[in-house]
Amino acid sequence: MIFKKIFYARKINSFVLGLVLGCLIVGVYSTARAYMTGQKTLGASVVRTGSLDLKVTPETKLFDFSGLVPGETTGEEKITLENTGDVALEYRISAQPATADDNNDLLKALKVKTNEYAKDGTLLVTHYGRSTKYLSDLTNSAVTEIIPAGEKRDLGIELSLSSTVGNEIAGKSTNFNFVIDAVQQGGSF
Amino acid sequence: MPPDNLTKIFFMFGLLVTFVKPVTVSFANFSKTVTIPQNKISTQTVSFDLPSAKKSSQTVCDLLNSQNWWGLYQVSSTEVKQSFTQEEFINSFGTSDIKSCQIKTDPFYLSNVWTKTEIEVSYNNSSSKLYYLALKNEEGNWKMFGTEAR
Repeated sequence: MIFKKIFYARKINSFVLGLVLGCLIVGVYSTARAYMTGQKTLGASVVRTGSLDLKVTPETKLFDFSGLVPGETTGEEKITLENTGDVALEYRISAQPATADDNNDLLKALKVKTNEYAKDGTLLVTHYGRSTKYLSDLTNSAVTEIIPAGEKRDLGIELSLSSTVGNEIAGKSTNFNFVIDAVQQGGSF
Repeated sequence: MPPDNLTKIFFMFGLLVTFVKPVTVSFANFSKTVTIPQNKISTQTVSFDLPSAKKSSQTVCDLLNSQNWWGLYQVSSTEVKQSFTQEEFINSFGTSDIKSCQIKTDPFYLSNVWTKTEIEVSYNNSSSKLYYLALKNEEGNWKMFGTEAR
């Protein structure tokens, strides 16, 4: 029993000794370095970073629709995204109520469909085509198309009101913002 | 294992703890966020004025012209609402080809409860058809009961 205690105490002491020795080596190495140095100045060198910038049109009021009824659609409205930076970018889109009051039954009853268009304007892909996505759930929705530097792409958004909603949403209004998050191609959001 | 070897292992472990630090991998990239504010959607109120058969006929035609199938369901009689849910009604009209509606005659009062009006419905394929629009009085409001081809 006593032998065991001595044995484990010795192991712990060795661990502590190793730790202290390691710290000493690191300390001495980092404080007592001396080198032969020389300095030569070369001509001015320029390192320029790439820039990521995005211009979105329209800047406000993509939707301003009154008198929507169940089963009706707003029609498609297009956002034009222009990559004004010098790196390719990818982006995602979210919808957020403007205020807590706007997060009402109407916002939760609006369905959303998005259309991605190619450079030449042809339709590439439709998301939520079967109108399975509610606007209130449009959070960080990834867009497939990557926008190369200097190019534009259109993103179409169409809202509709479910035909199953009742009169409780009649006469209501909701205000909301679209938020577009862009990152350099291959970057993480 | 002899105790001396174990001691060496513990000593090496102590050195390792000193020199090997946890590796943190982080990603950094350029990013930008743009907001499109001030979007607004509002819905229609449930307010249809149906005090007379003539006014109701015009309301029905206006709703057909604006393809407001929900509104058409709201001005429909109890019998129509018992036969179709709102969704069924809207979806069935949603696939129709109706372009516009025009009232052709004043209502014929068949009784205090029933009237009919002649309307002309035009379709997107440029054809048109005449119908009788039947209205039923429910608690002072003339509601759409149905249509019958002439």
